[in-house]
Amino acid sequence: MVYKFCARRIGTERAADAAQETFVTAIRAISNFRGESEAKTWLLGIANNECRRVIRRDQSASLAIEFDLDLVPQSSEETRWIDREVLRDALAELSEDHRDAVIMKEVDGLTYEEIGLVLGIPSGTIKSRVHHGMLQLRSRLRGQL
Amino acid sequence: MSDLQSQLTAYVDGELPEDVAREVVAKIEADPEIARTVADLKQIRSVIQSETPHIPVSGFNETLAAIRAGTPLTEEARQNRPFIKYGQFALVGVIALVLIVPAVTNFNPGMTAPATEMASKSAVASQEKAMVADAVAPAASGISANELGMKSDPSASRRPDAATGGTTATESVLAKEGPASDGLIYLKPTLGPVLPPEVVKGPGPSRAPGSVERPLMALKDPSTTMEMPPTRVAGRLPGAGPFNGPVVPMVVEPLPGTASFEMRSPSDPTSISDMEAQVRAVVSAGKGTIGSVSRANGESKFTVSLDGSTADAVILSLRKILGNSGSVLSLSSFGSERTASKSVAPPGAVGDEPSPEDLQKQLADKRAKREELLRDFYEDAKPVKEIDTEIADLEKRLKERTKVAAGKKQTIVVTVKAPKQ
Repeated sequence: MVYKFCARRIGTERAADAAQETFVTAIRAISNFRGESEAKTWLLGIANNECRRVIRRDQSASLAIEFDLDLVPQSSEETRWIDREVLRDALAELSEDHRDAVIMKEVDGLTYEEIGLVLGIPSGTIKSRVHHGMLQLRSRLRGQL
Repeated sequence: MSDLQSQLTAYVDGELPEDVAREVVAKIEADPEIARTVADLKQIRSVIQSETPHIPVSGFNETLAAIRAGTPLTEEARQNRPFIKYGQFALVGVIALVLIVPAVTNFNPGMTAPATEMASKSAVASQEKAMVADAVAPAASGISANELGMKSDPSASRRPDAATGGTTATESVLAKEGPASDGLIYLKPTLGPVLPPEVVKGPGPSRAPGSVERPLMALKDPSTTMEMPPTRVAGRLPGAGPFNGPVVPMVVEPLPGTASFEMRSPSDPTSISDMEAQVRAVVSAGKGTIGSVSRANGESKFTVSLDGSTADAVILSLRKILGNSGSVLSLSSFGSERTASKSVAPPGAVGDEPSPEDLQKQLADKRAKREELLRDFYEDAKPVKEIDTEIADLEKRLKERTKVAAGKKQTIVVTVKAPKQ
C-alpha cells in the first residue's frame, strides 16, 4: 500500500526508495506513535512527506495520474463513454491539493478523516477539496457524461 | 459551497451518516437535476477507479530468498553504504511493525503484506545497488584510483561544502592536454551520504563501439542538473586500459552559483607545459579568458579575466593544481599587480558578509534539518514554518550575494613554475 501510494505520486521508479525511506522513518519514530490513529494513516502520512521530499529534491512536479492508453477499455456501462485521455487531462488540470484529495479518496480508498490525518488537515477541508475536485472534473467532462 | 452539493459528493463517497443519507436520497428521488448530478459523480468516480493502472507489487518470498542468498559485503563496504544498513534495517523494522503495531492499535492487517513485501523489495534493491556499485568501483574493475586520477580516499575527494544532506557533489578529473592524452574529461561524482562514488564517464576517441556518450553539462553549466539513468559505460581510461561496467542511477547536481568542480590531471604533471595546459583547461572550464602569457626565467605568467560567479572556484582549482609550482595573485582594480602582492583572499571574503559558499553550506544545513523535521512534523507545523523562514532569508541573501559576485569581473595573475621532480 505504501509503495502504491508513493508510486502514484512520484512514479514507480522512485517509489521503491521512497517506500523504504518511509519504513526507515517509521522505525525511527515508532516510539512517537501513540496509537491515536491507525498505523495505516500514520505510515501514509510519513510516505506523503517522503514523496514531497523527493519532489522537492528532484524539482519535479507531483504526478498526475497516468492511464495506459493502449489498454482495452473496461466494458462497464459507466466507463464506456469517457475518453481516458480527456479524463487524464482533466485530472492534470486540477490543483495539486484537489487532485491529491480526489485520488486519495477515489483511488486509494481512504476516508475523508484518513486523508485528513495523512495530510495533517481537517477532514472538513478534505471533504471540500474532494467536492470541488469532483465538480471541476464534472465540468470538464460535461461533453462526455 | 452549497451544502446540498457537498452532501451529494459525500453521499456518492459513502461518507454521510445514515440519517443524512436518507434525506439526500429523498431529495434525489424528488429532483431529476439532483439525480443527474449524482449519476455524473458516480460515473466519474467509477471511471477513475476502473481506469487507474494497477501497480503490481509481488515477489515477497523471492525477495526474502534473494536477501538470504545475497553476496555478503565487506565490512568496509557496509560502512560506506549506509543505505545497505538501512535496507536491512527497514526489513527488520517492517517485520517489527507487523508484529508490534497490531498489538497496540486497531491495525489493519490487510495492508501489511504488500507493505512488507515492498520494503523487503526495497532492501534487496538497495543491496543490488551496492553490488552494482561494487562492480564498477575502481578496485573491483581492476583499475586503481590513482590510475583514474582519483584520490585514493573517497571521503577526501569530497568538496568540503558537499555534505549538503541529500545534495551531491562532483569531482571531475581533467585529462591532460596534448598528443599523449585523449583530451577527455572524466567525471567522478562523489555522492554525499547516500550512494558510493562511481566512475561515470569514459567515452572518447578511443571508446569502444556502443559506449555511452554524455555531455558534461556539469562543467559547462554549473547550474545544470544531470540525471544518469542505469546504463553501462565502456571506454578507455588513460593508463588503465579498457573499461566496461554498469553505472548506477545518480544525479550530478552542482551547487548553484559556483563552478562546483575540481580538476586535476590523472597523472602528476612533469613539466611546465603540463602545468600550463592544466591552467588553460581550468580557466576555460571556468568561463575565464586568458589575456596574455609571458615566459621568462623558467616561469610562465598568465593574466586571466574571470567572471565573478565562477572566479572563486577557478582560483581554488588553480591553487590546488599549482601547489608549490606557482601562485595566484589578484590584481587591484587599477590593474596594477604591484599593489596586489597579497594572495587571493578566501572565496567571497568581503567584509563581514559570509561567502556564497558559507551561505550555501548554511542553507544546505537548514534544508537538511527541515527534512529531518518533516519526518516527525507536518508542513504547517511551527518548527517547520520557523525553519522555512530561515531558509527563505538565507536564499535571499545568497541570491543577492551571487548576483553581486556574478556582476564583477576579476583579474588574476597566474604564475606557473616547473614542478619539482
